[in-house]
Amino acid sequence: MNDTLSLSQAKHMPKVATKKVFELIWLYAGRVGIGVGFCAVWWALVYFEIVPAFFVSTPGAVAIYLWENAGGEITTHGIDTLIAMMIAFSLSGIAGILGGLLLVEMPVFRRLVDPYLTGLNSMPRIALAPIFILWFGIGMGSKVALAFSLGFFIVLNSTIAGVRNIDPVLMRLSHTLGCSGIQRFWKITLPWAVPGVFAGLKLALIYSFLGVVTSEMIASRSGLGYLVMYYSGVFRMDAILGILFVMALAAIAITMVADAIEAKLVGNWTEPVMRADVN
Amino acid sequence: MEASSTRDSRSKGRGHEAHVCIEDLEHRFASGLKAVDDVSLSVRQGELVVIVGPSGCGKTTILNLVAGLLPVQTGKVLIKGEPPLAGRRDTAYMFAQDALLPWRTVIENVVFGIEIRGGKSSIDASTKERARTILANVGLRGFEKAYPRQLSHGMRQRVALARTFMMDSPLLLMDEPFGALDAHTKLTLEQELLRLWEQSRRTVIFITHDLAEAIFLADRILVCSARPGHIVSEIDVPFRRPRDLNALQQCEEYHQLYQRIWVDLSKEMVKQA
Repeated sequence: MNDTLSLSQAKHMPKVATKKVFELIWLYAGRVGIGVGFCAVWWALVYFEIVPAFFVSTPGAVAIYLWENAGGEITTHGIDTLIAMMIAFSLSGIAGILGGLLLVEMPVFRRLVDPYLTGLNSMPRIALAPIFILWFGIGMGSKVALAFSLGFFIVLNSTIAGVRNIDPVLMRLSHTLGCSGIQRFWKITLPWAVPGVFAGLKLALIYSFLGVVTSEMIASRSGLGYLVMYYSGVFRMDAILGILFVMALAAIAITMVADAIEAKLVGNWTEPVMRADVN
Repeated sequence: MEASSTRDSRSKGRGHEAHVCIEDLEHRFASGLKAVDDVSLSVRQGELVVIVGPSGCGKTTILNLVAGLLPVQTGKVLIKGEPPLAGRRDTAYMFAQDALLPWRTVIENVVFGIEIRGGKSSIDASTKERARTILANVGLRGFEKAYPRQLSHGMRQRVALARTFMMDSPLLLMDEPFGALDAHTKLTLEQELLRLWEQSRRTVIFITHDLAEAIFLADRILVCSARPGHIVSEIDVPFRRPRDLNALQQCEEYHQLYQRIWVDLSKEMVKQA
């Protein structure tokens, strides 16, 4: 940070810091409170027999399922899902960024393939799942293929959008400075696209997860999606809810990690300045 | 003092010392719109020339032609005897927008022009030191490591000014560089521009629609007509340098000059409307 900013912060430091800590405590207490309240209502609905336990299970049963299986099937199947997701995400990221840059640098090519890309992207992915299973078999291949078909287009489109909304005055600057094509690409186009690409990558991460789980639910022998389908076949509501809970936690954790990486890499030049903290 | 539009300075400028020489320049856009019509002017080495005119009169087109951003269609543009070419090392261009790269710190932005023109290896300790000096000159000491988003509009334009002067180009083209700033910030930046310019006299072609700015900065003012733009009058500004705006405001001649140019300019503005 620059001098004046840190100076003004130093003056208000103790007051601001304690205020911040209290706000944080309130925030987290509130969040936990909402969860606890929800479980209490849920438990009460079952306890007073307003809703049958067969359909919604109970918080206790879900907790017991999680406790007994956290180190067992949830971990082994969870790792399967995670590996498929990371492979799909990496492929979508690499192919999407390279494809996007290629299409931007070769406008004629982009105009040629544009309708095909739009058509492919608008296909409902669930309809593709049976094809992928035929092509790649039941297992890692078909999971990754479905997730890739979602993630690739997200990264591709965000890369194209990120490059294309480049500030025209920067292009004018590059002309007056006499940038070579390579310099323009490395020093202006690429850094300019980074925040847009990052937004796409974050979205692709979540969609890879969704794609893998969807594929597992349609046909597979492993993964969290497979577990959900298995337990719904034997009416184990506690297990289904427990796994859904784990999936939600995983999605939150993934998002938090991605946010942290993003803040580290581009946060210092993209985040808006907080001028309000001098009060 | 009573500089008439047909002063001999024009012919004097056409001599061997002319840095920029424009003859019978005409420019038409693809739409058929005539932007520049029969413009001839010449700028001496180390002279600060201001072109004033109503908005949309083709001032920027003239500058873009000199910068080589547009191809010359009819007429002649010579910079030190050579035709213009985009990206020439001896020309630096400054816009109304700051055009800073948001992912670079202030000091990295200031050396950007040098880095593009001389390669990364040209950024050594002495270049950085010079960048710091120029930044201090525009009142940004201590902000070297800040990012553009942390700076106010005026401060960002100061960084752009520092980047322009950092490049050591003998010819500076400035397209309403302070046009988007508030009145107070504008005055400070004008003073900073003059200070930098007086340290190392470059040739400057400065475009504005602000008369007070023109008189404060210029050695010579060219009044541009409504579109299609041509030069309707040429006025030498006699005030001694370094100039002090407060002293100028007290001075009767300043107001007379202002009045005179205003009459020329307002005739053109009426045509425009």
